[in-house]
This record gives sequence, structure tokens and C-alpha cells, in this order.
Amino acid sequence: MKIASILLLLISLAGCASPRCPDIPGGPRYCLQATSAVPPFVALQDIRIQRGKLDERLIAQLEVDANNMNLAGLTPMGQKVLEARFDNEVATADSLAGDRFDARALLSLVQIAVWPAASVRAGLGDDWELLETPALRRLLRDGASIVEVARIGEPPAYRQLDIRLPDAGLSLTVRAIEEEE
Amino acid sequence: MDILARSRPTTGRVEYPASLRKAGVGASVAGRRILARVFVWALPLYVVSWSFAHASPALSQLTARLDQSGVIHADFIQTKTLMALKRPLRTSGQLVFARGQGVLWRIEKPYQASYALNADSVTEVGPGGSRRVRAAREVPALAQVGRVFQAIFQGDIKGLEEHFEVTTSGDAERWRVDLAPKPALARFLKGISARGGRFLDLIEVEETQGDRTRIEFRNSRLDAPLSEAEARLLRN
Repeated sequence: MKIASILLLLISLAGCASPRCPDIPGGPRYCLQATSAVPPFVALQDIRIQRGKLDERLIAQLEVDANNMNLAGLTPMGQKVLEARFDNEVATADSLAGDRFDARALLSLVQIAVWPAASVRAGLGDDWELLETPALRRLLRDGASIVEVARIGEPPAYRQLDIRLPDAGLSLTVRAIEEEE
Repeated sequence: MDILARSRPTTGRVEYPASLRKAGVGASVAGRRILARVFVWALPLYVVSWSFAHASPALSQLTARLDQSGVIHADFIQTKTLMALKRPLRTSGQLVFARGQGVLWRIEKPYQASYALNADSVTEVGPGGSRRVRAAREVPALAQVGRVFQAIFQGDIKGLEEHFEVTTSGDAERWRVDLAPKPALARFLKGISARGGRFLDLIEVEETQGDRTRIEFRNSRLDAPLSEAEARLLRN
């Protein structure tokens, strides 16, 4: 089942966790920042996740307001794979991978990709450097690029995000799904 | 074919891909969750077949017609309301059953994805026409969906009352079936209801944690021939 492949990918990304600063395997330690840093928005997204031989598709809905950040991921057929929530104090998550995958890491990746640079810097340790142009954001440590985010469209719900974590061999292509009113 | 036995969450066994077995998923809680949710997905289809077979003489006649029918098309609108989200997720598309060939579940809005399910394989077609064909053993849950669909339209139904308290109401023109899960399923599932007339019109699934799935079927029609694209997809 498609779910099984997605689970394998998620499990391979699993790591330890702390209440507000979930580990991003192959990425920085990032502490989630206030959801009020961006205007409220809802985004339905078509996500392609690639890591090694794994290449899977996930449909995700992200809802952000001043108080909360909620993310749900489903297979294209509609089976729920994961949920993650952050209420500006505590981040929680549930995924079919159970304890093997901390789905809160996806919230961190979203913030790293989308939140204003000042907020992201506040969530990173002192040994990290954030560089960006309007279309590209990079997180560096010791001069090495650890996270790269190419962005197309307007924030916060970009039309497309290409997120790469070379050390983790992970690549996510996030495309906004346009919905009819 | 005892579909229910194949998909029983408490005793059934999911055949995971080798890569996933190495990751230790096969015997995990996650595995049981997958199976349970797949089971939940599949269950409404039993409702359809059960109702066809038992709810009224008219439905029995329909069963007979379906048994002889080559192709059934229906439009669907699926609405998932998740506790975690304020806004429901809504997809729409078309369901096609082709006797002896398989089932197509084609999502058209707001994104495109198609699944062709037959006895041997599952073909997924993404946006832009990218195709991925997987053997049924590699994607057991999706293959299971195909088997269940086959069972629906062939009236091959067993064991429903082993897992549910079944309540029916209405008549042939407007019937309703409610399924209340027995303890083994009550952990995951609060209830299922199905409504219809000549055809199935609506399925609603409510899970214990509050998530709900509603699938509306419209414009159901018998014997409209497969389009060339549909036939090609089912042939893989």
C-alpha cells in the first residue's frame, strides 16, 4: 500500500524529540516559533517526498492562525497518514508510524521554509546561519548548506516550495493545490 | 471469497513490502492501525453489497442486474472532516467498476490521481500521466480495495453480522443501513451508515477519535461502456 511506503520513509527520518524543538534528521535543531509571525492562512498541498529509492506523494492541509498551526497528511486516496499540531506552547503529533516518526518535524520544516527570517533565526542555535534571497533560503552550519528552500509565489502560502536536506538525502516538492470556491 | 476474513484487523496479517518488514513495521502498532483504517475504508462497501443483497426485493433485483452488468460508472464526492482541521478536505471524481477487469477510483478535483485496481496489480496515475504499476502483493491494502469492490458487485458477502450490529430501515425506494461495531472494531470505529434507493447514494463513516468520512455517489449508471482511457488503465 502507498501508506506503507510513506511510513517507511517517515520511519527512516525518525529521531529523538523535545516538546517544542523536534529533531529534524539531517537538519538543524529548530524550536517552533509563534504562529502569529505569519498572517493566518490555509493551504492544501500536493507533496512529493523523495529519499533514496523512495518516491511518494502526500496530500497535506496546513491551517495556521495566531493561536495554532495544524497539519494533516493523507494519501491521495484519502487515508490519513499523520497529524501534527502546535498551539504556541506545545507541539504534538500522531502518525501511523507511531513512535518511529515524529511528525512534528514537518511543522519545523514548514516554519523554516515559510516563516520570516527573523523568526527562523530565533528558533535556531547560535551555530547556524540563515541566508536568503526572495526565491531561495539556505541554512548553513560551518559554511555547509544543510537546508535549502527554493520558493515560488507569494508568502505565506507559496505556489511551490522545493525543500532539500542534502545530508539526509531528503527532498520535498510542495505544490499548492488550487481549489474552486 | 471471504473478504471480511482477509481484512479482519484483530487477527489479519498485512503483507508489507520487504523494505518495510526490515524496518519492523509488520508486527507494529502502526501496522495494526493501517490495517484497521484500511478495514474502515473497506467496510462501507460491505454495506453496499449487504444492502443490495438483503434490504429489499428491488435491491436483490439490482444485485442480479449488477451480476450481469459489465460496467458501472458513478460520480463521487468524498468529504473528510478531521478533528485536527477546521476545514474539511473534499475530493470528487468517478468510480468505475468493470466486471472481470477491475475498479477505477479517479480523483479529478481538487487534484488529480487515479488508481486502477485489479486482482494482480494496482496502477497509480499521477498528475501529468506518470504511471506506477505495483504488484498486488506490494500494495496489499489497495489490492484489498479492489477485491472488496469485486465482492460487492458479485454479491459475495459473508460475516458482516460477526462484526456489527446491523439495523435496517426504509423500503426499496429509500433504504438505510446502520452498522454498529462490536467490541473488536469499536476501538477504531464508531459507526457506519449507508443510504440509497435504486443505487447507493451515501456512505458515512465515523471513527472513534472523531474523524468522519462522507462519500456521496451521484449519477450512477449501468453499462456505459469503458472509455478507451479507462480500458487502457485497467489493462495496465
